[in-house]
Amino acid sequence: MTTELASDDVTQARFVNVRYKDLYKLLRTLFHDPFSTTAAIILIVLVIIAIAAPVLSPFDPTAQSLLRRLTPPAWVEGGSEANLLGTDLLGRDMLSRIIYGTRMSLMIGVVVVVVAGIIGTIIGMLAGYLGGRFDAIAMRFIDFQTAIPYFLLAMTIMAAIGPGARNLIIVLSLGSWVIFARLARGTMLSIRHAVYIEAARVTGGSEYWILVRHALPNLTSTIVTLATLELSRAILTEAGLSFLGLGVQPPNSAWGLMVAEGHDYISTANWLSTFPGLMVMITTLSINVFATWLRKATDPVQRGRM
Amino acid sequence: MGPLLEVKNLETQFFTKEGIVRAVNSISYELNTGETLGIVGESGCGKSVGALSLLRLIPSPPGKIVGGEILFDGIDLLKVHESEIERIRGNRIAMIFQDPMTSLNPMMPIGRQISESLELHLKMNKKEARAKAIELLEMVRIPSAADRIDDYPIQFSGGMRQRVMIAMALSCNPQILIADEPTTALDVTIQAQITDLVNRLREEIGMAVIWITHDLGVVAGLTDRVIVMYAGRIVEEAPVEELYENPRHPYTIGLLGSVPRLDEERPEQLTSIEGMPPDMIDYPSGCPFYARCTFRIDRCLESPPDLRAVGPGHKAACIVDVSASTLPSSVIS
Amino acid sequence: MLRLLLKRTVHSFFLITAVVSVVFLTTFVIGDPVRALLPAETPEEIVEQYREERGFNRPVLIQYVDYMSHAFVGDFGDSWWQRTPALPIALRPLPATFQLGIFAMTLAISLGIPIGVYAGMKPGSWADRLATVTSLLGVSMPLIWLCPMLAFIFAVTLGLLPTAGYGSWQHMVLPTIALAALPLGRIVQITRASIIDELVKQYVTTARAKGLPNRRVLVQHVLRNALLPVITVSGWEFVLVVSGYTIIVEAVFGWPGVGWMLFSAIRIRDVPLLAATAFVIAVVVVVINFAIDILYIIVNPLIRYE
Repeated sequence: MTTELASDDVTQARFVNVRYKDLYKLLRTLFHDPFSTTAAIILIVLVIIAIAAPVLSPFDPTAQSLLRRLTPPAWVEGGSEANLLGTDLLGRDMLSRIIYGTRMSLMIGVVVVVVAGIIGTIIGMLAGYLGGRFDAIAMRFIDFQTAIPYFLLAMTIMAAIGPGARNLIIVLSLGSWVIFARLARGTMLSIRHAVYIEAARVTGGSEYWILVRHALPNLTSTIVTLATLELSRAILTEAGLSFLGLGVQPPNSAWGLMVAEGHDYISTANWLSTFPGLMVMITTLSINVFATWLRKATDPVQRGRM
Repeated sequence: MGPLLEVKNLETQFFTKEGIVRAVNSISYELNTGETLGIVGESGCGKSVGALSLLRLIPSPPGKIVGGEILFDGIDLLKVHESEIERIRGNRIAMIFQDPMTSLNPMMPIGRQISESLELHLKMNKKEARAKAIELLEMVRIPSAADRIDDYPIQFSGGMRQRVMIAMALSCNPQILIADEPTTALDVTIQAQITDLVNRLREEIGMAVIWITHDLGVVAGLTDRVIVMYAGRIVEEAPVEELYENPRHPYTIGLLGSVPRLDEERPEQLTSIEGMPPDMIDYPSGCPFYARCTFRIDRCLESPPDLRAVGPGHKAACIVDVSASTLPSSVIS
Repeated sequence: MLRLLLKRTVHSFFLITAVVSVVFLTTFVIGDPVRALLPAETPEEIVEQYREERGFNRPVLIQYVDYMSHAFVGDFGDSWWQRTPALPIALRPLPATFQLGIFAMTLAISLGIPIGVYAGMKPGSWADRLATVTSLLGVSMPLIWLCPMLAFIFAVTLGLLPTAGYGSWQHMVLPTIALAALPLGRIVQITRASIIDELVKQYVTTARAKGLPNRRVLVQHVLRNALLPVITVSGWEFVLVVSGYTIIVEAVFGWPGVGWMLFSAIRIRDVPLLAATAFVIAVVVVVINFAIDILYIIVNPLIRYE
């Protein structure tokens, strides 16, 4: 590049411009692809279900009715209109439990990704920007933790600190932040000496200012893609741990827990585990379809390695 | 005896999401036995695509040869079966490429990459092919070839790798060598070594060479005849000296204006051609050079001009009778 | 090359140390092993006495050093459940897990690579669509759902295979399929991406210009280059199989492997057995990593020059 270093205002203006234009283009490509459109709509619906759970669910998800226990779904013989998806072992309404399960699973997933994403990104950016001893120690630690089998780690810790949603969030965040840190550090390193950072330095920005104003927009697209993938992983891990009895505890509803509760009745009352399991599947599949689109749309060079 | 290779109305297009890219638009030329032909043009003018089309090496999809004939030794290369063209590739017509750093398979020893063709086309056994590969490496002046035959490309410099490419291309004594900008990625001193090498081997083997480049300077000392391409079309064709002394197409005149020349009596200022080549998707209906031409008249917009004879062996695709002497002063200054 | 293996050795040592340390930390520092071992209503004096006898009242650091020095000679104490040394008990289910893991990986690789290669050669074709769907389903598949569904379809409805258990080859089919699903998705994804990356490289045109038929170009030139990332990813997936997926699959299908042992140890609160099983899994992970490194070196001759 032979052009002179741009002034702050120009650089800043260019950034904002590019980002608005990109957002518009991004949305346009989203609606051109039926698969990603469907995935996006499903995700929006799931979020609405999670938020409006008390309004949407026909029954109290914990209300038992032994008289009505193991009622099959409405379209199966012996089913009833009142319980669309049937009832469970204790006569609780499956639909209501799935709705509350959506709330629980999405809440845990989102909180984990937000906590791990923020902590990981900050540490990673600092490591990449500061370099030196901080970077060396952080990287050693990250390398280390990445090598330890995640599910094994999560199980052991959950067994020690006890099950429950709060502990799940702690453990899943502990397992997830390193991935954000690694990505943020890598991106930070690659743009540390990029022209515009130099430009900002020349024109006298403080270190902090440089970091936040310039690096963050560049990180956004990769971090968002990673966050969607990590969300899917957190939901799957949560479901797995809840299934093993190490996650969400009764009487709360969570998809993994519900699959486990229905597991012994797979031959007589398969709806008990079919529907909650299907919910996990639909959610993770939508997230992955969305993430694939997002990755392609924001960074065509990046390959599917995640 | 007719020409060795005859290209007639070759057309190659790329079918992309944005539209059809008209990379090569009805080009025709001939190549005689033992002759060296230069094809010159700026990047994106279709010269490389045209060369790859000769051996049907266009990546398809998205690329496709949509029309024309390529007559080689009496057969139309565009019509024959894939297995037939495979027998010609690397055997009777060989090719070397621009970037020696990426042209070789990084995971295969260079000797193996050479002997592969020998086994395929000349039906040599492994031992014979290996001995011949060493011989070929010596021919392209790789020092201690016998020791280096099992080395990987990563252990060679750019110039050395291009020598390996040449050894590979010449292994089956081809009748035609297509050299697609083989010196562009190399240092100037190495460039001269490679051109000398190709020239010397050309005489030894007696093959014809198609030398593709964007550098008119390279063509000058190397070729017998030159074709100038612009926007997927041939705009001028002439014996090399004639082209330099008496260019008859405004684009060639512009190109020559941007070649630094040491033999000029009064060093003129280097000129450059204003503007950009046309959009290859939304291809202009008239003369593709119209927008940048200093000689343009309204009639240029009617249809793309055909090549017409302007002298012995000299053709130009311009309806205006131009030459360097009629150059308007605005171009020179 | 030697440096790589040396680095890997050091890394392995730390990995095993870390896993055992995490177990120590969770069971001895966060948890209370004495309380876990003795019945809940044990009087306080007896608990204290027990603590004294077993040395659980010493400073944590001393306990840690003591614990680690025993752990590294394979002494994790006696299993509280079976009253015999824990390590041999933890090693016993290893062949069952290896059997399952190796069959699953073989299935995933032998299906995944051809599908990925074919899809990569013809992007946009029906085969490519199939590959995209396979990989998306694979990476989104919740095992807690896949396992019961397989059991429901093939065992309950069709009656072709047993629902759970260990012994004949019929018992192996469903767990193998379940375990192969996730690695299959990942391997298809990476193979396809890798083939697409390689095919546009200049050396492929060179090879075709030599007159090699397309099949030979693929087999002799492209595959070797394209399979390097596939080897790496397959290694990661194998690690995930034995350290994560297998825990759920073995729990669902009652397969007596290490995953099942780990889960059982947690459920019955057998701390020494838990530690020994975690140690065994860590060692298996290390062995797989070594195997992958060696395979990588064999396939990639260039590693000597890096």
